[in-house]
Amino acid sequence: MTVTHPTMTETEALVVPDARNARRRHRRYLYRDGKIAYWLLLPAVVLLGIFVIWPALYAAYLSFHDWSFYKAPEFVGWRNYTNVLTDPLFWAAIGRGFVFVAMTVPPMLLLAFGFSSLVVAVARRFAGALKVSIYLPTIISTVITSIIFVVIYDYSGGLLNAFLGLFGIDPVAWLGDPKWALLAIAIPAIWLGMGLTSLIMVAAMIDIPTEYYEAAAMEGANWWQKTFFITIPQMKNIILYLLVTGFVAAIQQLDLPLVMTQGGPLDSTTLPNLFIFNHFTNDVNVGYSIAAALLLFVVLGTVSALIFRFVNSERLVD
Amino acid sequence: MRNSKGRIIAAGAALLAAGLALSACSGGSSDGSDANGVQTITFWHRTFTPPENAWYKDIVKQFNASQSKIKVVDTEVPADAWDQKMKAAQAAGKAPDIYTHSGPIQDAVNAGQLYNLDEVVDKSALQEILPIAQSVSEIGGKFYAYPLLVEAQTVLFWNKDMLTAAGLDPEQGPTTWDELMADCAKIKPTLKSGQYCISPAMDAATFAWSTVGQQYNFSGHTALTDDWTKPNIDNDGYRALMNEYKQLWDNGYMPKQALAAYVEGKDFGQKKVAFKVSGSWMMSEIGSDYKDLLTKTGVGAFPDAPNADGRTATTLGNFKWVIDAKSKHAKAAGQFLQWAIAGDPANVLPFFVNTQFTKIPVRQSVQDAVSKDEGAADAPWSDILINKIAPTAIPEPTYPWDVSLAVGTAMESVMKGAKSPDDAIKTADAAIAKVIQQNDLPSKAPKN
Amino acid sequence: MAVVAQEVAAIHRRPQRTTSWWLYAVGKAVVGAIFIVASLFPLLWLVIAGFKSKTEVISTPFQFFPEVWKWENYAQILGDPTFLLTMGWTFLGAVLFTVLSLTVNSLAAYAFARLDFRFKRTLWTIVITTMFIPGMTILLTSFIVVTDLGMLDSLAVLVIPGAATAAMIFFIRQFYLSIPSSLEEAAMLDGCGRLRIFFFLFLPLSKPPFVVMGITAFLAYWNSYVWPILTITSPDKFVVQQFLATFRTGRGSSELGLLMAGSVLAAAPVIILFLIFQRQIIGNIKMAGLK
Repeated sequence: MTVTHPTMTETEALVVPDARNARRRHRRYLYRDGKIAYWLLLPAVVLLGIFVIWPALYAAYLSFHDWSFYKAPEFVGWRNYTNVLTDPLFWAAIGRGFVFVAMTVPPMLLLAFGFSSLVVAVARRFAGALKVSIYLPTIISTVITSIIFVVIYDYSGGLLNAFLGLFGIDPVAWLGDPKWALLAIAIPAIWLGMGLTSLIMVAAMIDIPTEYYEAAAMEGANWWQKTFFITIPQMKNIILYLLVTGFVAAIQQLDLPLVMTQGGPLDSTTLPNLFIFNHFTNDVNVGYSIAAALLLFVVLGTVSALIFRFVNSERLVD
Repeated sequence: MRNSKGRIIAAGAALLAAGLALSACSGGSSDGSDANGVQTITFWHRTFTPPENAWYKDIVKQFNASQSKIKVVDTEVPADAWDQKMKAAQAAGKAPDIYTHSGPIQDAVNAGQLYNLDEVVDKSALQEILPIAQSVSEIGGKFYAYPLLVEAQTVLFWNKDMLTAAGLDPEQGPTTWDELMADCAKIKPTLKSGQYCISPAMDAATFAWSTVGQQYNFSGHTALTDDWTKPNIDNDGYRALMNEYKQLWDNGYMPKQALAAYVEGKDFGQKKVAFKVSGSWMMSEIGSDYKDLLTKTGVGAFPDAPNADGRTATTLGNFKWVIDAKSKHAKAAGQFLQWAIAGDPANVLPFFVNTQFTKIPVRQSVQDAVSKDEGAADAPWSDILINKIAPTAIPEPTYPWDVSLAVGTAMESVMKGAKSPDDAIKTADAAIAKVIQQNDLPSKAPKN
Repeated sequence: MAVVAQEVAAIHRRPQRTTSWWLYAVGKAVVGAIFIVASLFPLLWLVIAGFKSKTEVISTPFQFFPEVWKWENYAQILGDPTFLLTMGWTFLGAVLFTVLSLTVNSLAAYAFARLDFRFKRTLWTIVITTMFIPGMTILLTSFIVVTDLGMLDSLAVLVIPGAATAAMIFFIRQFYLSIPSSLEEAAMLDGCGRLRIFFFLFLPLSKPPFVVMGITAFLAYWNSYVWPILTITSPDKFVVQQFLATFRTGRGSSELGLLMAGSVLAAAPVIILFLIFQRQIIGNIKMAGLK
């Protein structure tokens, strides 16, 4: 099959002042690449359809059923949803998710901002070394990260407690004490996430035209003023983007608590996805966990939209 | 133009073919016998102590060698991966034909997950099961599991040298909680940095299953009323139990983060603790991995509450073999089961001998064979475990896991100071009430 | 004249190396060092721990360096056939996955970037929507789907389902949109069709996004854990993270030195890959961030 473009002579020959024909020609021109495009899109669309879209629809369907895999699915209407919504452990997990986000996203953004400010102010070689170092942890898998930090956090022989011991501080059960465990997981989460966040911020900061700074310098602005009135507003879009993506990623954290603490102690590290995962593993029927996953999706989407709207409208237009 | 598109089609077809080829490379599909009439069955066994794991591998080898009609392919699955692997396999319809199972079979039977053994195992073998293990293998007169052993789940071990160093009698462990506290008070000053007096259960899930005996010991009953209509934990017995653990925590007698899992003896074997609470199986791990400690380990019943009145402090756990309801080789699996653990006692004897005589056989013929074994005389703890601890032990609870977990969570909360006993009990009561209501427990209560 | 010359000289004069300048410089160096150390320290710790004997990794009293540098740990892991098999298998899968992803997603990206066709907007909306579906929502049901397709416990189940990703299509499309249309127009005047243009014009130009996305895909596969633990049950088909996790609760729970060494070796290939391509990756990060 060959693709033809209407040549000048062809269109001239078709001079018919008929609106419908013109529209048809226009559409044919607009959609001229149809056949090729569909072939090119086929693999991606097929894959997305089978492995993403269909499972999403199927999940919605199954959430209204009880299914134990050994008997046929049994329709139960809204019961799974009401069970999840009235389960205090579900809400506790959601709450914990938000706490975890608060523990990881703002510190990461602040550190990344500090990092970026540093990178733009130092010599190229140093900047390069900084960028490579900060990004390297991103390459490390969550499993290996968990292994490293579990050893560091060990109660009686771990690095952290030994270090604190030098200052006379008693050993802390980082992973055994419900007060500390969530924070203990937040640290490796920040460590892993810093790379991407920081480098995106660096790229955005470099993009700010230096004229603004020079103009400010001439008016005698100091670093703080420059930052508040130029840097931050200029980076508004990026900061918003990082905030939303950071939130979405943090609240969906599964690997770290799964491998490091299995949700304990006392559920203090049972983040929403782990809650769902545990239910899937332990429940006889699968409907509850799927309903919980869909409810989490709703929470995620709502909060993301809220953040977006809120931050967008609050910012001064530059 | 033409061959560009042709290239894409060719590439796509190649990809598809590769994909299909790759999926065909998946683990052999085993439905029905192969050309020689050999049936292959899959067997999953959980990771236990090293001697047990070795016995499992060996018994499979022996079975395969002894006949040519059935091939058993076994996989050892670590405990923490078990639930999730099993769930995934069941979801895929690929659960193993035969696997080890612990705990009550109620839920599994109700969900239709287990094969009725009456159909594939000889009646005489099923009837040989001793009464102590019958309740865990049959429901409503039908057998769904064949037990291999029973064993005490909560036993006290102590390092004789460490007790001697503190001026205590190494041959006699504490028999009550008060004595335990007094002993720890004496031991603590003699400990080096990184050592602790006792390593007991310390997280909700472990408390849930391993302290049921202690709950009975303190209060005379377990977490539900006899008719399963209400939780039964708001009383002095339960509060006293929770407070004892809180004392262990507050006094620093136990590490604030587990040095090893409850079920394994690593911390005891590395001499990091003077006392260890674990199941009787821990002795076999000492025997295989920490041989020099074998003669220096004291074994005794877990300490009693002040008003225990002779009640036991331990439940009797068990391990059984079950056949998956969807198995396509149920008969073959039944034959394997019967040959391995329900047939000639000589097959199963090494299991009990190599685990240092800490496990209790559930068939008279096997019990006799074990006691006749010459190694039995060298295992003085065996007498303690089998004749002193096991006879009074209570079976595991048959109510749902979530009930036990609610109690375990309450215990952990109180111990770590996260909640007062009143609050913890209130939370647990609410959780248990929910389980009772959602599962309609009163209708399932045992009637005796 | 002289005044002008003086002013010119003033502009070109170097900044004074005052005390505050030095403090500033030292401050920057210190803060920078802190960032570098904080980022790299855990890895350094891992590598050192890999040389320790099993009682030294977690020990009281605490030891930073091992008594004896046990190279045997690394030798033992490298000598373990299962480990090597797992590494090889994972590497193969990662390569296949990367190639498949890049192919599928770039074709789609080109179609969306440069072609005009019916339903383009609708299809694009559908593609973008999939980007917002959280993984957990479809984890369980996509597991059921791959089970029904009989793909379990094979390389296919790791390579095929995740190959098409809206994020990668988006990223590559962004790049293609930025290729000046004058290049295409020239090609078309030469009589090239859309397809030819893709293969001979866009593809050769695609190196930057392909490197970034290719590494991302490779990394995603190499580090994958949750999906494999659900779908791969035979130990000889494990991915490398599964192997580590299993090793950690098995033999590695007491043989901590071996576990650390194994972790280092498992991370090594991707670290090397990163170090080779770091310039492209870091240079192109901004493209990942801009919408």
